[in-house]
Amino acid sequence: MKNILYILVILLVAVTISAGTYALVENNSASVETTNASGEMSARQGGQHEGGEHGASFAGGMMGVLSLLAKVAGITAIVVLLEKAFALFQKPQVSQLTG
Amino acid sequence: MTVKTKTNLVLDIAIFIAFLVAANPRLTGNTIHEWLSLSFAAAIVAHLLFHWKWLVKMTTSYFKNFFHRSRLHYVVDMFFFVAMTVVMFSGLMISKDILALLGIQLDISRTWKSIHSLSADASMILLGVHFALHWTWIVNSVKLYIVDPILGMSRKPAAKPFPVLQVSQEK
Repeated sequence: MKNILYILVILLVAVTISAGTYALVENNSASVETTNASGEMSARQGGQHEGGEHGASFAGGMMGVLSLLAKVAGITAIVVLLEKAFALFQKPQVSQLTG
Repeated sequence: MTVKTKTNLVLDIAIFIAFLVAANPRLTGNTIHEWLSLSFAAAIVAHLLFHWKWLVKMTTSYFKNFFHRSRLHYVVDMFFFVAMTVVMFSGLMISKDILALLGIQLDISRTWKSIHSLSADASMILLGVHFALHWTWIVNSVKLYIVDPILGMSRKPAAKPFPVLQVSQEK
């Protein structure tokens, strides 16, 4: 029972974020549509051209997975190294205080 | 909710693999991409439930110890959740299969597509930071539950000798 309540809370937060995003986007895109009607036409045509994304390619997809993995690993490595560098800078201060 | 580290690790690895696959629609095709992403949302909810106590503790006592490291975790996780929610929602707005199944037809706008790809990029960056902030836990858990058992299997000699069959010879 408790878990259902927790799930509802999480979903409520998610719905709030989604509603906020929707309000922001629709308000902004509405003003664009009224000022530039031809822009909307080109957007729809662009959507039709990308119909090819329905198909799957294992080799291309695996390259994408590896590329994404490399990016995440790179970001993680940078942040971990930064943390270690900060820790190195902080350590002498601690030893000065205690020593 | 008390969940063992092992369960957490298994769920987190499953979520990460799902993220890698779902983030590459070229690998699966659009239909699986959409449905996998939808089930990915359920996995995120489960992940949050597993860390519910920590979430509530952080939310209620955020400003008590403002400069603690855990506050940075909280902020990063919060932005990560927002980014993931926006990815899911914008994905639904440009969905071709899920909404079609429900009988809903929306005009696919370029704005939603841009938001979808932008929030996906933000999620990827925040996932990297999320990993980095939990790096010690990840390394220790992977070592304890994956690396050590595998190494143990290859190194450990047979603990028990093979049982010797005793054949009784009746005269």
